[in-house]
Amino acid sequence: MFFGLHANPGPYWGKVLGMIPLLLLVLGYMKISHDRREVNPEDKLAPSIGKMYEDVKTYVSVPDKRSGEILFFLDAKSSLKRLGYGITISAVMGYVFGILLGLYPGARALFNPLVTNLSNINPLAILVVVLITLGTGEVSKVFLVVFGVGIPMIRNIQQAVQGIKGEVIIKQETLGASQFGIICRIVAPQMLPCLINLVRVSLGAAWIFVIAAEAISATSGLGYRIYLQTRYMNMSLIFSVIAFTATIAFISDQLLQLLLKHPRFAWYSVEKK
Amino acid sequence: MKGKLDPNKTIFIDSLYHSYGAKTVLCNVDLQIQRGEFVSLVGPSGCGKSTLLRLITGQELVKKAHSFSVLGRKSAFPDRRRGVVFQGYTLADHMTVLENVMLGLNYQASCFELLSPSWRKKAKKITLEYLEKVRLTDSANKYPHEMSGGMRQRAAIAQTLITIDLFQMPQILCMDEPYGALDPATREEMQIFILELWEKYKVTVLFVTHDIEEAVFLGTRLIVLSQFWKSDLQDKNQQGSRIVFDTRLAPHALSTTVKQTSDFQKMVATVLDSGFSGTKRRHVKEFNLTHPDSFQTFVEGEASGS
Repeated sequence: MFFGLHANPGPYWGKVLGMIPLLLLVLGYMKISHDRREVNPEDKLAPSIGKMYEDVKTYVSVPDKRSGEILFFLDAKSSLKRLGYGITISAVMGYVFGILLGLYPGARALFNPLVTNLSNINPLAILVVVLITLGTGEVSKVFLVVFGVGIPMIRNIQQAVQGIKGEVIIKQETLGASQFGIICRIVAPQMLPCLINLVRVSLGAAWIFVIAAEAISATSGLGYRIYLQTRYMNMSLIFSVIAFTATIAFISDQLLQLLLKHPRFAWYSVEKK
Repeated sequence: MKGKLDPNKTIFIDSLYHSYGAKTVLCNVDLQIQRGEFVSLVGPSGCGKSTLLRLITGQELVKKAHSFSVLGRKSAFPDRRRGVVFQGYTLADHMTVLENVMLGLNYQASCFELLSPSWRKKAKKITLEYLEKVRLTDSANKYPHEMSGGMRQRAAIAQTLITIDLFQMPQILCMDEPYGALDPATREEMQIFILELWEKYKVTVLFVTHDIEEAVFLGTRLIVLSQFWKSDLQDKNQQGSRIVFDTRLAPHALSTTVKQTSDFQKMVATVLDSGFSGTKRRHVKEFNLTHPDSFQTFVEGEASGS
C-alpha cells in the first residue's frame, strides 16, 4: 500500500503519512528545547512552547509602552500593505505589458531587450541602491517587490500570450474583430487565470523582498520585528513571526487556488494537463 | 488559353510566385474563380496548397505576382471579407460554444448595444438559432474542451456562418483541411453538412484537402496543385508547384453513396494520375485544364517545343 511504483496510499492514509514528518519535527524541537533548558534554564535559543505562547500573547494583545499600539497589528498591517501594493502593481504591470509585448511584434522588438536585461538583475543585489535613490520610506519597499516580481510576470504573461494559437487570432480578424476587440474578448480573458496563478506563485518571492527591505530599514513590519528581536536573541517571538508569515502564505495560496477552481477557469487546468 | 480573362472575378491570380528563402513553393500559378463556386484544391503533400490559401486569406502577403486580386482588392491582411476554417479548432478556450458563436455579432456591435440587456438577449436568441442549424443546441453552454473534434469544427463553422447570413461577410470561405483530424464517420457527416450550407448560402468556398475522394465529392470545380511537372527548361531548382489539373465536376446529390460509383472512382484515378507522382510528370503543354475559367501563362522558353 505504501511501497513501490504503484503505491496508492488513499486519501485517509495519505494524510496520516503526511503528518508524520511534521509531527517528528515538532517533537524533535521539543526534545532539543527540553534538553537545552535542562542544562541552562535561561536558554533563549530553543524556548519552550509555553514560553512562545506567552510571548505571542504579549505581542498580539499588550500595547507597546512607547507608541501605545499593539505591535503585532502594527507590524502585520505595515508588511501586508507593502506586499499588497507591490503585488497589485506587479500584477497590473505584468498583465498590461505582458499582453502588449506578447501581441505586438513591434512592442516586443522595442522592449524585449530591456525587460530581459532587467529580469537578469538580482533584486536583492540592488536593494541598497533602491534605498539610497528612493529613500527609506514605503516607495522603495514597494519598488523592490515590483522589480523582483513584476518583471518576471511581464515575461511570463508575454510567453503565455505568444502561446495563443495564431489561427485563433486570425479567425477573430475574419469575424470582423478590431485589435481592441481581440484584446478585450480573447487575449485578456484568456490571460486572467494565468495571471492569478502567477500572483499565487509570486507571493513567495514578494514576501522575501518585503522581509529583506524591512530588515535593512523600517520602523515597523514583520521583517523589521524579526531583525529587531535578533538583537535580544528573542527566539520565541522570531519563531512566532515566522510562523505567522507562513500561515499568511498558506492561506493566500489556498484562496487563490480556490479562485482558480471556479468553473469559468476549468479550461485552464485542463489545458495545463 | 481558354475562357475569358476577367480581373473582376472573385479571385483573379496571374503568374503568382512564392518562395521561402531559396525554396520556390508556388511557380507561375494562374487562377480565376467565379462567385459561388465550390473549389476543391488537392495536391501531394508539400505542394503549397496551404500556402496558396494563406496568400488568399492574407495570413501571408504576396511577394511576386503579375496580378493578384481577391474580391477586387490586392493582397491584404485577414479581414471579414475572407472567412477561414482551420484543421485545428480555433474556438476561444475560455468561452462557451454560445459565446464563441456570438463573437461575430459582438464584434459588429456598438458599445451601447453591448451594454443593452435587450440587445444581448436578442443576440443570444439569434445565436441559438445558428447553433440549432449546426446541431449544437444541447452543447450551447459547453466549453470547447468538453466537446469532440466534430462538434468543435461545427461550432467553428457556425461562427462564420452567422456572419455570412447576417452581414453577407465573408464572401469567400477558405477551409484548410478542415476535416483532417476527424474520424471517417464524422468526416462524411461534416462533408454533407458543408454541402448543405453551401447550397443554402451560395458562398464561394475554397476547400483545401489532401484527400482526393473528399475533393471530388465536394467540389463543383477541382484543381490539382502539384510540384510534379516538367517543361522545356529543365531547371530543377526553380521548380515549385503549379496548377496541373483543373476541371468542372458534375453537381451531384447529397449522398455519400456516389463515392462507390465507377464514374466517381474513375475521376479519382484521373486526378491521382495527373500530378501525384514524381516519376510521371506531365509537360506544361499537356496539363489537363478543361475548366472554362482556367487559363495558363508560360514563361518564355518553357513551352517552345510546340
